[in-house]
Amino acid sequence: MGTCYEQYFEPEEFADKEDEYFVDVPGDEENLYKDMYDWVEELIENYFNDTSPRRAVVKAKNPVCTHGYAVTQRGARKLLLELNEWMPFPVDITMIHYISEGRFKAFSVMPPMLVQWRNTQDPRKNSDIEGEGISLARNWGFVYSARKHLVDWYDPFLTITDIRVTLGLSGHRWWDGLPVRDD
Amino acid sequence: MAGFSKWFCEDVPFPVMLFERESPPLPSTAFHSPKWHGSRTHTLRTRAIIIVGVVMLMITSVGLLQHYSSENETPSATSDLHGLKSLQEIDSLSLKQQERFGSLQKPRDSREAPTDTSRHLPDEEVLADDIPSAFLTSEPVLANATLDFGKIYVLNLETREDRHDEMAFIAAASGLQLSFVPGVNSKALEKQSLPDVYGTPQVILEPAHLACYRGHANIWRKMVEDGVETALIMEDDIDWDLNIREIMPRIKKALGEITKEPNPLSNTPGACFLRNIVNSSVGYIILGDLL
Repeated sequence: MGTCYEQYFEPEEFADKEDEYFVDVPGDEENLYKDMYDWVEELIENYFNDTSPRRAVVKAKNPVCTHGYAVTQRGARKLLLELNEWMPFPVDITMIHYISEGRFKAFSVMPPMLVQWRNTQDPRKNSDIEGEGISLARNWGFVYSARKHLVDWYDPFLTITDIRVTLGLSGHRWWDGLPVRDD
Repeated sequence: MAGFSKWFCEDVPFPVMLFERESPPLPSTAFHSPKWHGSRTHTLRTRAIIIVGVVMLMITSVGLLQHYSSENETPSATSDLHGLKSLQEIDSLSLKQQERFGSLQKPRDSREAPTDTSRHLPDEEVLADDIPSAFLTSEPVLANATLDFGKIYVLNLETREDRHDEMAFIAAASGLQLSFVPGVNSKALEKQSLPDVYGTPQVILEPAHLACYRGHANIWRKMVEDGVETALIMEDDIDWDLNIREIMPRIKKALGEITKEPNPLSNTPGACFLRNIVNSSVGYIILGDLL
């Protein structure tokens, strides 16, 4: 559901088995920003020979990050048992090892439905675990981002918030400093 | 023999069931989505224009209503066609004047009235062909409050209340129901409880990674304890599309397609038994060695 990084299978690997490796999700084009998902472009092009923004469910090869994933009951039991036995790397990397060994069936939604949120105003509030892959995460992936529209939900007419931000009374809150919406 | 039937796929469907068969019903609260409530996506300026427009329209319509509802001060009963007339007024006119109105005359008897078959509505079948189905269903297909999973778990360090607040906000804005699970502090880890990291250079695994692992492991254990068939697991620093409940059914459909078994024979009891034997022996070979 939410990966920071994903690799694709080569056409030789999925020859004659395309249905098991990627499936298109029609009807989601309008929810995607093309610029935000340039890192998915190569994968989409590999599978669909097309770079137009679209969402797909693909067979997972190298899904990094654990900020959003779904598991079945059986999957949870297997994870609990196997990772407790042998976990030489961080959780996500160890899971990739198990997936590549074929012990787990895994699929990725690309572009992901859940992305890591980065606070541009106050970096202290970002992820508690810092690492190399942190720059891969994007926070502006969605046309209708839930966090982006939170100000609307909080204050439907934006009047009070606008006045407060304009007067400089506010500006240190976590939702301030967002780009101006032009929709 | 408890769970024996599972070996033969009698109550465990294959391919992998990633969504609940019977998920809890939608909450009674209304679902707010920017797509279906256009006013959310408007800026302040657009809103101002809309409000001014609506006010002007109201004033105009009130004026028109007043104009036409006021009684005609100079009745022009004799000035025939040029003024508007009610049917009663027409009835009171002489026949000669009535003829000039032509089509306004009622037929003398409804039975004698000619029936115009060409003006009848077509049959329902024809209608169904003519009208695109998009117009027939205005409501989108929505996933339920837990996105058709059994539960949505959110891993949240108890010291990070700010993130808990944010998650609660965006969950409420997009109509989701989250179950928060306390995370594990890296300082509170016991060495004995950690997994075997034998042969691993210490550089790779930091205390934060191990705490992260333990937090996720706690959720997996909670799944087993709660008996949840499927769950979505999240961390507390994420963002999603506000229409996620509308998008999820499409993902669900695609997942159903990608996990579909191409060979129907592979779901027969025998094949299932063999597959389960192989799977379990791969998965629990370490356990077997221990025993």
